[in-house]
Amino acid sequence: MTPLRNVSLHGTLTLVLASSIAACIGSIGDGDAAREKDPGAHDGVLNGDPSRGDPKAAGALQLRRLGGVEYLNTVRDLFGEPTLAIDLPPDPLGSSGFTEAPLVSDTTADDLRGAAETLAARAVQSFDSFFACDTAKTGEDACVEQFVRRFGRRAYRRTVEDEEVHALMGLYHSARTTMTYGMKDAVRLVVTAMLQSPRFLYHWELGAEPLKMEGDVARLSPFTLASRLSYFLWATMPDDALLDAAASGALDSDTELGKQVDRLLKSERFVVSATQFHTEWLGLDAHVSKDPTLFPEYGDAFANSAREEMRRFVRHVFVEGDGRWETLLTSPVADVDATLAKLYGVTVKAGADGFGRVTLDPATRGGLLTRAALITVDTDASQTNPPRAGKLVWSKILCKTIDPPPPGAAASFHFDKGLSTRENFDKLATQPACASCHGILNPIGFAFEHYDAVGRYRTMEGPHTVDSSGSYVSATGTKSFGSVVDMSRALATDADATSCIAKTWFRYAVRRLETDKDVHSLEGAFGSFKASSFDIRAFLTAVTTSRTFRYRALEAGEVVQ
Amino acid sequence: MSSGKYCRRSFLKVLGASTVLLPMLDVELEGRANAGPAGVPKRFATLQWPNGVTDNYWPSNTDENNFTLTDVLSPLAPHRSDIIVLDGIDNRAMMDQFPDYGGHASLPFLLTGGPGKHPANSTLAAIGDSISLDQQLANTQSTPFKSLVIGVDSREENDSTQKYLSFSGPAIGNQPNAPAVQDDVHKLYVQLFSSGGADPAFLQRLRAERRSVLDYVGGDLERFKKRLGTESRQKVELHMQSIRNVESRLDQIPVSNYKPKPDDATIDPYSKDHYDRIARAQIDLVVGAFASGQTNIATLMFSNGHNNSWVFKWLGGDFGQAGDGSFNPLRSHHEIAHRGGDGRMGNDDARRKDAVDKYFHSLFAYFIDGCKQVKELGAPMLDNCALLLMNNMGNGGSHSSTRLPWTLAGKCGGFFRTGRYVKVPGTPHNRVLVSIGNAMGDPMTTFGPASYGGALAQLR
Repeated sequence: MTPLRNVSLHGTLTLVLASSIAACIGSIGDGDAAREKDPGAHDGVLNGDPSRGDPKAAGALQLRRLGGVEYLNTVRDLFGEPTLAIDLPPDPLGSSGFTEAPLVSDTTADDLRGAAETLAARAVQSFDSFFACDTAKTGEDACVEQFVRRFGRRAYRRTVEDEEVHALMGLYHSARTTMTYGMKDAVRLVVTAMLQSPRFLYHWELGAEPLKMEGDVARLSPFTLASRLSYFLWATMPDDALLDAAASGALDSDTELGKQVDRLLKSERFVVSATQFHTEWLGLDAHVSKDPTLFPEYGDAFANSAREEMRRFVRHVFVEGDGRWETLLTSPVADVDATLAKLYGVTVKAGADGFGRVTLDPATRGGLLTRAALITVDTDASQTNPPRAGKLVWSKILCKTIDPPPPGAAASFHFDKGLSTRENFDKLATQPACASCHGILNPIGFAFEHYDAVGRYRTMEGPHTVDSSGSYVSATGTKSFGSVVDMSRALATDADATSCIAKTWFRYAVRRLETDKDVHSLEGAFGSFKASSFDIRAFLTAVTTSRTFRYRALEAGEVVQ
Repeated sequence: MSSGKYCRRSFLKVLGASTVLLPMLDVELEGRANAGPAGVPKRFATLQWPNGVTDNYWPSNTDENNFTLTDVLSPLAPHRSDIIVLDGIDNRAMMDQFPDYGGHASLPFLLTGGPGKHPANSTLAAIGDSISLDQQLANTQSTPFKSLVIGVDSREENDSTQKYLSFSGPAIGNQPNAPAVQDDVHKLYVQLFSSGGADPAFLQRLRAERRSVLDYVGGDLERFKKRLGTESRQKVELHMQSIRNVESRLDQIPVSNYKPKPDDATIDPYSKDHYDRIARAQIDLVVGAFASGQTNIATLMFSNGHNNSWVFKWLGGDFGQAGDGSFNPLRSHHEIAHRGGDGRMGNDDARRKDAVDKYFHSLFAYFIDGCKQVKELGAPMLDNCALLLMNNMGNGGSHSSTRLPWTLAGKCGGFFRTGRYVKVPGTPHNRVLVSIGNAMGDPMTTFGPASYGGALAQLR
């Protein structure tokens, strides 16, 4: 897979970096720096040009296992228990920048075994409703077969094939005879096996049918497409309506597919996936500590309030609102509880769930970048960290890269408590070895200086008057701003930023980096994004109906039939 | 549902589940696999901690036999005659392949000896791309658990380049082929020691059921992989191997009279305040697993490539306050490593970093002590162990990859000559791995790139 490589800006940046002897020196924990994204995939800025790329090409569909979040959401739906808890470890980040289930080692296989046993045992506790068949009337074998086909269609997310039914019936019979199990235990054993089957565990809803080749790309089977849609937009298995649409062949029609996408996007379940997107994209679930002497209010409860506020904000923008990138970056609407109302300096009439709708002062607070959930993870224990905040905007919002600080850099930076945070970091921009990177990151990060390390608005930092003016460099030149609210407004229409958010969502959709084969689909979808005044939902709709989402390149060694 | 390649049921049937009914025997070592000449198995374990050391770690008197332990090393004093302090080990494998990499990127090189693989979308960091020493040794074991791969709070780390120390083989695509790091002491305790008190009839039924299910799953994976492409098939084959390993555990019941300490249910495996209790419980589990024949190979990660979010409050002093610099959070191990190890010895952060490093040596001493307390044929189990205390960096301030502060403990069946300070400036760490491999009975002549040389004669 060749990462997308074209265009210019990265080249310019490389020159800037190469011209300094050492790259950036100073600050930011380099544990964090090692996570920076590398060049290659990012460099092309999308502009919606439909003549770019091969219209017949499609990217790869990699074999992926259900991630921890997907697994949990799926079994909750599969068994109809929305509060079910399963303790699987969280997944590390994959090359898409989003989480990816690790390869299956012994411990993982054992974890999956344990989860399957627990779930199956739980399911058969209410056996009559779970099994849902009268053996006296229908006969035991017929009932079991019905059950396997019915449960299997949802667990495997496709029609269970006869051969699979026979194999599972064989397992059932051996439980009944060799192990002398009763019906309930034999069904439990079958369910335990199905939950460890690759048909359940992997995103690969393909049976024995031959691939539908069109040229050198394969059209996804309707069930594969249904699952791809569902895990992307809902982070869970398809519901019956979507499975039915797949089974009937309706998903082959552009109109019907469009209707399903529209339905999925309007559902509350989309909030689950969109929240997961924002959490992983911006690292909002990072564990952070704050200095208890400075921020006694901070703790798990505070962090949970901030995350819930973010979830509700995402819901507000994507389900209630217009879904526009600008709205996400600038809307002053917030749902807050008492903790956040105090932090934001607003009064709230909270509902029964403790949260209520407020409009924040648009002069001091706008969208995504001004909320506590983001600010708390992008500051230090006792103070702000302008380079860290700058790096977040630079790498996550503008999709640009920067080298991590060289070894030893951190030790050479000494924070002078007599100076403001801004003055301390300004020193770095005047040192030639540091300036190449800090000259880029610091002026962006200064935008956040009007908030303290938990996100409270301030005009003074101790004895120092806060100055949050700064600038960022993008495709269209240097943009100056007075605060993060101004900066957010500029980013809302910035060509680099709109391209970046589109690519980031695309990576979340396909769980890999974009390649040359995706260019046509990606540019086409970006065209729709642009035409809708940057409504992210319009972009997602265009992605899901694009060539690269509905077709795939073959993997080396794959057997077509 | 049978499938030729996968099927090994005839073998399973012979062994059957009834072995679980065997009473505990007085002779501890009966029936052990991988036993040495005297019937005693050899064991290998690593204990890894991050962020290097300050110059205060290194003794001024480095005479081979009459060396002086510094304060940082002092917890090892009671075990002086059982250790080799190594001075001059370098992580050349990483420095040669990726000269730009910093110390945080070093983990995947430590036990593999390199080379690593640079995954897409990662800057200046690699994933392991070859089998690590522990997993190579694990492959020839016939203990129920081929190895234990354990660490404190592995779930905290979401970066694959800093999450794993052990690797089962080359990376597949951009994903490391790494055993998941088990970080839940209670889960581990159940896995290792739970069958002891359970009703034998229940256990027998449970094993039979699991065997039947796993057999089905193995067959299903076999069918599933047939049409997949090469890389996807590798992923599924790995999955199949793991299913086989889980299944084979069902048949192998170690014979032992080792009585583990009861599981301490009050430990929260993910509480930032329970680090010390978690770490000691993990060491206890490894000692117990060694003593009871559950495994002969273990890696312990305390905790990842940087320990950025761990604040060593239990060491007293001012760890719980915000540091002087721009680091998150508070006085984390990572922050004090940078500020304490930068050559200005004697500053407050050097004092703090030394306290942390001394603490990790006290954990290693606890591990050594645990292995000494178990007696095999009248001798301490430690004599048949190679325990390696290792850091992924040399100097903490610069996060360097030279002069790694490693210590070996145990004679490993008379292979290592302990009680010494071994100065071997500029030695690739691969050579230590070869020596340990040899001590464990693997006739390897090199490990990782052959250019780094063979066993380190000075260890014998």
